[in-house]
Amino acid sequence: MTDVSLQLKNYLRKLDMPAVLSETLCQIEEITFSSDASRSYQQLITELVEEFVFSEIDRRGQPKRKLSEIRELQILHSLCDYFSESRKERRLAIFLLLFPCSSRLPEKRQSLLAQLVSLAVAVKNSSILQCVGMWMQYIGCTSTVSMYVANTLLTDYFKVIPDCTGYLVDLPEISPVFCASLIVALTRIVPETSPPLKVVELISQWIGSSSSVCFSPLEILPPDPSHYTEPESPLCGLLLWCILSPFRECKSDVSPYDKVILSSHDSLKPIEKSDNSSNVFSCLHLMLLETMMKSGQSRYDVTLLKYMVPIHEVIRMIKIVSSKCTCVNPSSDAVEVSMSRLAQMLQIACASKCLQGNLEDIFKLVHHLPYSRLLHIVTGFGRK
Amino acid sequence: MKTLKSRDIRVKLKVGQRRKLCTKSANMMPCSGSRIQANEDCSDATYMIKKAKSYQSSDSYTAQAWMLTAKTLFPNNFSVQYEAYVMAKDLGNIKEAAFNLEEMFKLFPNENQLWAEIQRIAIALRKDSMEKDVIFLRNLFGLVPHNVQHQMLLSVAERSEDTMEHCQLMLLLIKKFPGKVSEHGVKLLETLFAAEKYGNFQSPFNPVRKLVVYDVIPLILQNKDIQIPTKQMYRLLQKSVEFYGCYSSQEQDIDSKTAKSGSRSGDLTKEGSIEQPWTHLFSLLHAAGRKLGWELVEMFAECSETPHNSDSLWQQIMSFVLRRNPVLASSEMSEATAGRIGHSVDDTNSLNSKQVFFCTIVLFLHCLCHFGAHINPTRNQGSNQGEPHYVLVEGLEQHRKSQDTESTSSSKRRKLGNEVNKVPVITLRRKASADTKIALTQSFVTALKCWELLHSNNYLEKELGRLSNHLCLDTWPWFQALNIDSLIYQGMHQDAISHLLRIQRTSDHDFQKSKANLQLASCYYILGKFSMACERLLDVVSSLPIASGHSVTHTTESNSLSKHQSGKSGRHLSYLSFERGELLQYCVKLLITCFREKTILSPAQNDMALGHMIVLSQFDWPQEEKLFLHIVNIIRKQGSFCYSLFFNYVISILFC
Repeated sequence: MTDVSLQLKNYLRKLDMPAVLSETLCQIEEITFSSDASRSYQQLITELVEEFVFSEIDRRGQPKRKLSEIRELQILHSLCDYFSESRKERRLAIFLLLFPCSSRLPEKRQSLLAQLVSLAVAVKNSSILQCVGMWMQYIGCTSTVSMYVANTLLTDYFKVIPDCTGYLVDLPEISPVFCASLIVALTRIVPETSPPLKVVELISQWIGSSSSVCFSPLEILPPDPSHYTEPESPLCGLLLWCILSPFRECKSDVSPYDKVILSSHDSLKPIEKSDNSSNVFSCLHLMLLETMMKSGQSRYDVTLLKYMVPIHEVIRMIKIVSSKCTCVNPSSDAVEVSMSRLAQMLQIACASKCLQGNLEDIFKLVHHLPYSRLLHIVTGFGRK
Repeated sequence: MKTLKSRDIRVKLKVGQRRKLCTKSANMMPCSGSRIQANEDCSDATYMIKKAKSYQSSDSYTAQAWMLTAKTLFPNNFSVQYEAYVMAKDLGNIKEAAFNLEEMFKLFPNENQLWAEIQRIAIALRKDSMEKDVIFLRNLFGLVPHNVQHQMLLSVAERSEDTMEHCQLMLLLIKKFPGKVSEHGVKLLETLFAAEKYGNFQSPFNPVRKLVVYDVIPLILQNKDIQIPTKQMYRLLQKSVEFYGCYSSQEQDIDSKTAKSGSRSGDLTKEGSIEQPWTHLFSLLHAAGRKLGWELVEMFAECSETPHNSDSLWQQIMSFVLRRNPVLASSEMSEATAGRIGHSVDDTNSLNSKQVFFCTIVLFLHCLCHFGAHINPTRNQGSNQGEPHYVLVEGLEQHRKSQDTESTSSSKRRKLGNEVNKVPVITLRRKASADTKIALTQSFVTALKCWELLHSNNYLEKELGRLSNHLCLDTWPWFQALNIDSLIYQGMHQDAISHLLRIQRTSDHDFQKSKANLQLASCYYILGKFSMACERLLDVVSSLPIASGHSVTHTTESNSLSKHQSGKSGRHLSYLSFERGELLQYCVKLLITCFREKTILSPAQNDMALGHMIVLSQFDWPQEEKLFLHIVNIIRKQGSFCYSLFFNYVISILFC
């Protein structure tokens, strides 16, 4: 350990809570962006983060016991303050030092991150949410950590707060990329056939208010040029909801998940019956199709558009749909509607270049689905 | 083949939709599987349209999803694209409809259905209607990019086979795109001129001319880039003056117009009405004059509809004439001696003469029409109801005054009548509003002055002749009135009498007859032909308008006014309002005056005449108290008085 590091640590140790938090963050920023910054400081920064920011270890490097709630709150507050005041171009780098892009974050830190996100949503702190959104894209929106964060948010806002829409409705403006990443995670967390209507309606509102939400993941740059992550768009997950929604009506009105969420609060009792919910989904479906059509007018490069509806996602979708279809009467209206939506999605995705590449595998899979004239027309055209 | 098929199906669907409103079960039919199987043989595109429409009333999102898919599947199929447009329109998705329309316009320039739709939009753009559909179409068009809007209007205009419609559309285009005026304006004007020529219209007041003058010319004049040859400018001005002149004459003449609309060109009816026509003409003349470099037109820069400042406008013309055109000026000044200069004006003068001509003729017509509005009985009643009509007669007060001071013979009076170079004073007898007073007297006098100027040299007279031919100025009823009033004003009573007698003979209008009689009486009186004056007066009294509740207004105003003015001027003219009270008052006064000339002032006294005068003097008591006392004196002197009607007609207790 160099003298400088030791000096710095000793200086910080003399400070009280919570002053030490902001001072540490400033020091980290200074070290990172100083002109002679080199890899040798990496270790120091890690230590500073562990000891002074998250208090995970004591001065001797031994793990500490659980933080008090007050302490946690102080940390969250300091982070919020720091990120809203720090310079825009430095935020992401510092955030990635605090929450590295590895799927294994210390458990405490993971839970702190989830709480930080909840707080940031509540206070509409767009700096933090932008960082989290990109972080989720880097680490994968469907990774365990991302899903953990999304799930915490879902629980916090749908269980604890009677009407969450007021807090969440302007999320696409506050941070489009976080909004998109959150949707991707949500589409994986909740069961595909029965997403809670409240969630679907909220997401419909988001997409309706700003179609650019779905495109926002295309805008982010990789954390470092050597390691490229594919942007994840919420389109596929949402389209799958729409395609599977006709089957939802065949079963009970309220999904098990709805029950879990709604049981805690009487005001959230499902009032939407099948008729209304089908409208919710047909509306969302149309918005998604229109969103894809807008890609033509968007400023994005055609090569980037293929991440909007990746082939492997489509294959996964068709497989899920296919397995659903085996349980129902193939000539039922539900199947007809579902197949039409799938066909529409395929057609629009191809036409808008959101779906690119060799589609042969997709056609093979579609062949095994129940017959639908539209699907037949679309795949016929696609082959030509 | 394909389009035909889809059209058939559309018709069927429309019927189906209507039926859907009646029976709820029909709603489900198109969705059920078996139904679709039955239509499996129709084309893919038709199938998709049908599917989309089947959802339209129950679930518009699904309907739109189907339509969107169909659009991307069949981008080159017009009926699919058109149906997508129709659906967007039906669902009120105005942005999408506008986008679809633009796409179709680019891709399918030869589809009749599309043209029919663009034509509907063009019609909506021309309407002021606030109907929901019309507003929707207007807004829809507004969302199409500007260059495409321009292209659409241009194409639809070019496709239009009807010239008028073509011109309307072109007008719409240049109105919407002022930047394109220089491109299309002059050509449009030529087309319209040709259309008017072939239209064989009887009057300059026709729909084609209205387009030219009211709509197109102002747009062209506003544009700084357009250069119009001077000759062409004169032509435009001439046409504009003709149009507004005829318009104003017909607007006032609305009763007779509706009566014989068959014979008249009658193409422009109520919807052709123009708000503030004069303001339009003034600003048009102003704009045109500016282009021509006419300094005189500045006087029309801020002119109002009513001729409050017509006198000052006249002054401006006169001062210009004096400065620029001594030829015109000298001839104008010597007008009284009728010395008209016969030589033609040279080129530099021609420029000045042109502007003098146009400014003067416009001012003249403006004044004439306002004069007519007060004079003419058949003018538009709607605008100023309750305003009486006015008749110009000789004033009586100053005349009698001169009698009082000096007992003169009729030859003296005749001499007085000839004193024309002294400008007569014109008053309005009744308590007319200040506006009316100014409007009537000022427009009358200004019109006269303009008329004189227009006749002051050959050049102007020639121009006037050409224009008045087109305007049919001679047939305007109040042009006649102006003519007679001007003769009276100028003291040419003999000429006035011959005109009046002709009107009296030919007119079948009671008002015209009475008016002519009254003016005849007034003229005879001034010429000293008292018996003939009395004869006419009796005619007037016997056909007085039915009492409208107006009692005689004993205004001292008129008297004091005449007293005040008779000092500086030899003559006093008066506009009588054509109402029972005022007419009767004037007639009685004139009768008394005539009788006095005949009886009191003549050596042979006549009891009958004296008695009549006593009876008449009651009417306006105590105005004629002096006269009454004078008669009593005469009776005293002669010692006897025999008047058998005394107890029948002498009723005033004030005598006692």
